[in-house]
Amino acid sequence: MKTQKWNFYSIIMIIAAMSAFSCSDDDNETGSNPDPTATTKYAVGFQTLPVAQAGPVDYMLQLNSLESLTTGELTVEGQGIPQTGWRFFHQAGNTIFTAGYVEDRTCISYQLDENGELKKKTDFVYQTTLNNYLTVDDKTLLAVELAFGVSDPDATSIPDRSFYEINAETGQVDRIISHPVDSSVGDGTAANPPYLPWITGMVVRDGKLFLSYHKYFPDGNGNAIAVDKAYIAVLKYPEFELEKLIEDDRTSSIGTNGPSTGIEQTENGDIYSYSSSSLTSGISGATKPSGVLRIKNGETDFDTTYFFDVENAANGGKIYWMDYIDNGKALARVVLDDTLGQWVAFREQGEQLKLVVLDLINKTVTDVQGIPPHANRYSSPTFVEDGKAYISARTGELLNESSTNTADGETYVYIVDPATATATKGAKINGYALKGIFKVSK
Amino acid sequence: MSVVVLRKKCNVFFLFFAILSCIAQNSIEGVVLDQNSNPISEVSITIIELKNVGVMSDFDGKFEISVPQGSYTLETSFVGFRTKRVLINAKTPEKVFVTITLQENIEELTDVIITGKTQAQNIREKAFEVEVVETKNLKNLSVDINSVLNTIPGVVVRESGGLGSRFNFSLHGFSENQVRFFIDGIPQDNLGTSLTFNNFPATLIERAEVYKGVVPIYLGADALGGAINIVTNQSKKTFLDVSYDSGSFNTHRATLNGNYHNKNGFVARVVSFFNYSDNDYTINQVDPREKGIVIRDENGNRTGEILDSAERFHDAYQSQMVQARIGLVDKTYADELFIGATIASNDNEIQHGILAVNPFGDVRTKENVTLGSLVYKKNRILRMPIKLKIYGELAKIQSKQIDTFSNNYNWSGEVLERNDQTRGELGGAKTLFTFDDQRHIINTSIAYVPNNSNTLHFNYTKNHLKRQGSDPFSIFKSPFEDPHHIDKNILGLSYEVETFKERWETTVFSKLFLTTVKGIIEDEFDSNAATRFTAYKNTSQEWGYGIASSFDINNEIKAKISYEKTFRIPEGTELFGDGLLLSSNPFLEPEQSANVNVGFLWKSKASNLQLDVDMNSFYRGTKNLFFLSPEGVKARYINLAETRNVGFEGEISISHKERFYVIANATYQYITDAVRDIRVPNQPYFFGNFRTGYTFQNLFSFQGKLTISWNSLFTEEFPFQSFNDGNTNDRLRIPQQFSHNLQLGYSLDDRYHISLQVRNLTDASVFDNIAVQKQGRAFFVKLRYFFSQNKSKI
Repeated sequence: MKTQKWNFYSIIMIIAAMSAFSCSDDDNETGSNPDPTATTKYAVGFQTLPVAQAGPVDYMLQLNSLESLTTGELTVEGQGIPQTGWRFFHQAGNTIFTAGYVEDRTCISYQLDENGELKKKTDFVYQTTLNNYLTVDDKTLLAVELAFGVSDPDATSIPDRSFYEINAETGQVDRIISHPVDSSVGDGTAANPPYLPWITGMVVRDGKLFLSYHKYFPDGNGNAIAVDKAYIAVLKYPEFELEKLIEDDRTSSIGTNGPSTGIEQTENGDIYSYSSSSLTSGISGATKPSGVLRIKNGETDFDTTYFFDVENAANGGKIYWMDYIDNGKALARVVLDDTLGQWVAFREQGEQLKLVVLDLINKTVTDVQGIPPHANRYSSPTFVEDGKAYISARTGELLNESSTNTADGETYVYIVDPATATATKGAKINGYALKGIFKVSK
Repeated sequence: MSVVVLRKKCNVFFLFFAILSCIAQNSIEGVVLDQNSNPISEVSITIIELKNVGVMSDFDGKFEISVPQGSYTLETSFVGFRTKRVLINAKTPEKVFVTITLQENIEELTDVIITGKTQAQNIREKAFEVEVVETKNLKNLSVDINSVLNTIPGVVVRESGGLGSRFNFSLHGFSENQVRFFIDGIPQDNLGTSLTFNNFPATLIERAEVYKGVVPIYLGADALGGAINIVTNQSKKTFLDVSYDSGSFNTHRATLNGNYHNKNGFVARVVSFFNYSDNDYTINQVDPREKGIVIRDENGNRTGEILDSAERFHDAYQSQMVQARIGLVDKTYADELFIGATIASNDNEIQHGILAVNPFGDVRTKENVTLGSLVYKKNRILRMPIKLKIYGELAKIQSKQIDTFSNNYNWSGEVLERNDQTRGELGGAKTLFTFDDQRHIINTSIAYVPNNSNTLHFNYTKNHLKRQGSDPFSIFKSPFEDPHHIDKNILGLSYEVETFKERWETTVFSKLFLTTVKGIIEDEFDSNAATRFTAYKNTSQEWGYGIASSFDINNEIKAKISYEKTFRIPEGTELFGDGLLLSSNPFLEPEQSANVNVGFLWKSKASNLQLDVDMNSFYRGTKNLFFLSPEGVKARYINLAETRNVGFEGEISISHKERFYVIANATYQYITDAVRDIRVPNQPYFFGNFRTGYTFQNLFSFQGKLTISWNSLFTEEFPFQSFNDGNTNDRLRIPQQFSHNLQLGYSLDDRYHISLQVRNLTDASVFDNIAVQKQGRAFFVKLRYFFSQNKSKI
């Protein structure tokens, strides 16, 4: 008798639990919400593995909850909006922008529609690849083109840089401003070579636009000259008038190819930069240590009292990528072996990088526990929620010059707590990487 | 050539002969030709005075008979030709050489033409998996070679526009450098875009041979997935062939093809073409994501205007070629000795990049080719049954990319104000980038044919390319400024044997690929002259091998099986990069593939109806395929991909004498990434075509012929990026393609020809590539005059 009763209750419980479960499932699938104006969705820029000789494909994939990133597997099988060509992913306000690199020079914007579904808003096209991005505020995304070859024999100067001010609400270009940053046609001697600015990071603060850059030799070969100095240009914003050029010889040129985080602003208005000095990260000929410089709030010069020598710090090394999180802490990837050859750190699979927490105030480097040595080619600005950073990392045999494959590699999301320098393994990614993670509302 | 006993009794005959020269004893040697000087194989040659002594002419029409000294009467007979008797005086101890020209027996021919094998049938029945298309019926139409090849099972030619546009030739999933192209056995790689097959009107060629996966050694190249050989008119007689056609989109094409042969054996020949088209056809999609043409402002924003259609406005193409040859034929020291020169050029306006979203209005490419060649052929060397053929060539190819304007265009063809006047339309620096290539080819082929059932064949091809880049517009370094040298040496040896009363034919072969690639990598930041330049040299040696075998199960059915393990050697660009953003990878290994074909041919004849069925199943297993791997701003080729392709193709043909034909074929292939076990996108996997035609003989005039023909091309929809990934609604696809062409032609006296062609009759929107639309309905008229001297030359 007692047993029967127990069974009866348990059946009721199970039915109740099941119906509750299926209800919530339904909610998730339809995405229906009693108040569509309050809809919040997550979205990722998902990069698949290559198929045969075709390169990876990028997808814009919406997620209904953050749990998709913390457990289980994430795939674009049967879902996601395919993109053409290799793409950048950036966000301003509630709009996600995805801009093609060379194959498709179209920038598409995505917003939540009235049903709370991520939908294409509009697009615009450009003739020269937009390479570096800054979310100025919720209304504006700033992008700059970085073509790095100059050939016109009639050119008396290096062409100006074109800045695109993109409206986050309309997804269209408000204006294109061309302005010189720092360039030289040289005088034909090795001591005074020509160069053009290759922008690696942008910050807008108090009506000023700060640009960190490398001086690229303008032959289209992707090599910087005079790398043993850090360079920043300061322009009036939004007037785009050059105010001053500053440099510092304690470390090498700022930033690395791909990310837009060469310089970043903290909560108190200080600007921090990272310099890589790493051949494997693409910087040839640097002799200065890899490290972090600062421009204090209100200043337009490097803080001469501050230099964080990351390369020679305990647990340190040469920085491949850095992104500021909060409370004076940044996440960074450090090159484990700088003798692999130029650009090798960028290979999409391998174990060439380790993840560390940089305490920018106390100048300490702490290895993040719970994440193995890994590879990651490109990332949008790091997604942070509740103080935790969500990053994607791929492990596996380094893609070699011959006879390699991507079958033995694995990609996971890691949820990193910078305060404790620990990471927990989240969802498995059935692809190369998540290029970017975003949260949008309607 | 051994003497075989002929049991066949010969018919009564007619006599005609010619004696060229006498050089050896007790031996009669000769060649049997038709009125057009084409060799006739399998002609029976008997000696009336000597019972049971006779031979068959070989593939080249040659024969040899050993006889005691004396005077003899040779009797030659072949179906469709009048039997002939030739008096031979073999009293002196010297070899007798005869050329026997057979006259067609017109009455007999009309009845038996189908049983007589054409050269195409001969090749098709070889053990190799080969398709042969004879252009005889296509010469009067406005078609180029690519559109002829596009009708072959297993082949898809994916075009990015109209006449002269970029195309991707795909054979069983292999494309680009994985398939090699030849004209008369000479490799065409690195000859540029003015001599690719879309430039050649079908009028200029006799037939196209497509070897699938397994390639005979005489086509000496590192063909990973097969080879295409175009055979031009080899006739030695005097003829003139002139054509002109014109049609939609201001298209004009002309050919001039002629040959002069005098009685001293002097031959002069010219082959030439001219092509021009505005290619200003109407399109209604440029963006993979939406239909219609979005009009944009100077900032790249949408103006709100979306047109239903637009005309391509910067897509004109012009190409021309003249090839001249002079030489001597049928001499004691040479059967053929020719020197030749070719000049060719083109000018190509580029309408857009890989995607059509952003139109261009100024970018163009130009190419120039100059080429000199030497051919030597001798069919008996040192009195042995050894055939020798030597070809040598020097070619200079200059290709130029012209991007010196900063204009920005929209799809209305309007120039938009652009703030940045320092960059070209392609988005980078303005450029006049020029490739200067020099190509040297030596091809030597030796065949030892001791008798009809054994052939030993050796082939050596040297293909040397020197590539150098320059950019007069650049104040800095240009790609390929330091030249690359690619030296490919391909040696092939094959043994062909026929046994079981010629029912079983087998060829075993091996190829040795010896490659040396040399290049210089410059570090422009290194001021030390001694270390600034690093010379790289990469040598590779690969052995390929294969077998092809066929067996006649009965008179009607032939089974075929073939296999080849083959390689594709990396090009200089793939190994050394371009000196700029494409990095070098000296460790790159050759791509390799194991290719298998299993098929059968079935031929059946019922009264005047002929049925031909050709079925083939294939397997391709590749390894070490090159993959362009990005690294920061740069990229390099690495060995990454592995694929499998399993497929099936079949063709059925029904014909009724020369009156009508119906041909249908289909190909299905399943290509997978072998590592990940998922299907490879952006490859047509199910396609086929249908052709039919009817000829009204003796219409309007005794010699008048009216031909009406129809062909349809079908390609099933295939995904651009993935079979499984992405929302079903958002997944990008190349839509199903189904287009029809109608042709009407009238010929008078086999000399005057006129034809009308309607292409894409239903004006369907057709795409080979994502959002790159091809031509809609188009009309063409072609006039052709063909004159041939039928009189015997001897």
